[in-house]
Amino acid sequence: MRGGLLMTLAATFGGLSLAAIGGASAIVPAVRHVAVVDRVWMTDVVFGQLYAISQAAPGPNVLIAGAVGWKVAGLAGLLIASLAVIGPSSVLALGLGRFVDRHGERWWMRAARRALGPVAMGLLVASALTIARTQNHVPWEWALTFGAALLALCRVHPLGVLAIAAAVGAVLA
Amino acid sequence: MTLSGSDDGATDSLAISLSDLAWAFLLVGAQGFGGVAVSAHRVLVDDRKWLNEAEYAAMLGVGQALPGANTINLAVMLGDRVAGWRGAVTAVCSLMGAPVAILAVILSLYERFAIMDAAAGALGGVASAGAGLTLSVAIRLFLAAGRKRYVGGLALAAFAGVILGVPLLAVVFGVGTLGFAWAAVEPAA
Repeated sequence: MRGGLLMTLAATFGGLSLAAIGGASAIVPAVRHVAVVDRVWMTDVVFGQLYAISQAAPGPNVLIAGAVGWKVAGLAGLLIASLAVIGPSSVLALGLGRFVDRHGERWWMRAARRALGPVAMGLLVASALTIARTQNHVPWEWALTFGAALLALCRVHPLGVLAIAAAVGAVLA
Repeated sequence: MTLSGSDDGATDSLAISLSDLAWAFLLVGAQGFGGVAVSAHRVLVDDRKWLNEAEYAAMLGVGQALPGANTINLAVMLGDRVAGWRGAVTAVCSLMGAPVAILAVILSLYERFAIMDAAAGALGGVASAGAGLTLSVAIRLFLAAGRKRYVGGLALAAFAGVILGVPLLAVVFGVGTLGFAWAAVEPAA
């Protein structure tokens, strides 16, 4: 029974791994569908809480997979789901990274590098705005977002910025 | 995109030991509140200087175009450059180690006590500021790219595409192709 659950977790998140174009945020709706509708592992409310917790922890946002795994099968579920969601996409990255290295000095590879940098910048801004819009409901929360950006640009250490933000949030919320 | 930094003529390979690699990515993961792209930039570009701004942006861009978290893909590629597949496994496990452990702790505390108001407020504040930190990395990458008009234009196009709900794959390959055409005719600075 438990082994079967772990197998299901591995298959579910292993399958979603290659669908996570643009990072794990892309598969959150699919994860919710599996967890809440297909398998009925949890209610929508519990899924929302798990998502908030996975966002609060440091690290890549694939942690939502681990959080769902935890709810389903405890620590083993957390580990299996995390490995499954990371594995297939990492193997692909390994292969492509080697291809890039082998052809790194060709003109078309240089051009691709110069093209993808700006794309990454735009996607970072979009991801910042997406998080800010779901997270920020009142003006002081927006002030925290822009204040943090300003402090970081003035070379304040990110952990210092986040510590200030945590204190402000604890007092004002 | 390689560690060799072909665009600025840096050295061809960096002497990075497996333990250096593991330690660096452990820090990246443990400090990755509100987006790992921020702590990865801090550790790999600012502190360790293993990558310059242009290499970091390009590597993140490649990692972004692939499925999976961009920073995990970056860890795979950088780790592979340093020590083959062992380096890749080391970098990814180090990157995920602290976050997975912290997640397990938060989840078990949450199950037992539910989260108190002040703690929830603090987490909310961290999330708001995290968005700002991500924004600051984008701005620094842009400034480091020399404020070129085509860089700003492509970044704006990618941003607008995502915000308007265009599928990410289409954004990356559409804007990427535009940028490719531009970079192919525009001589490198």
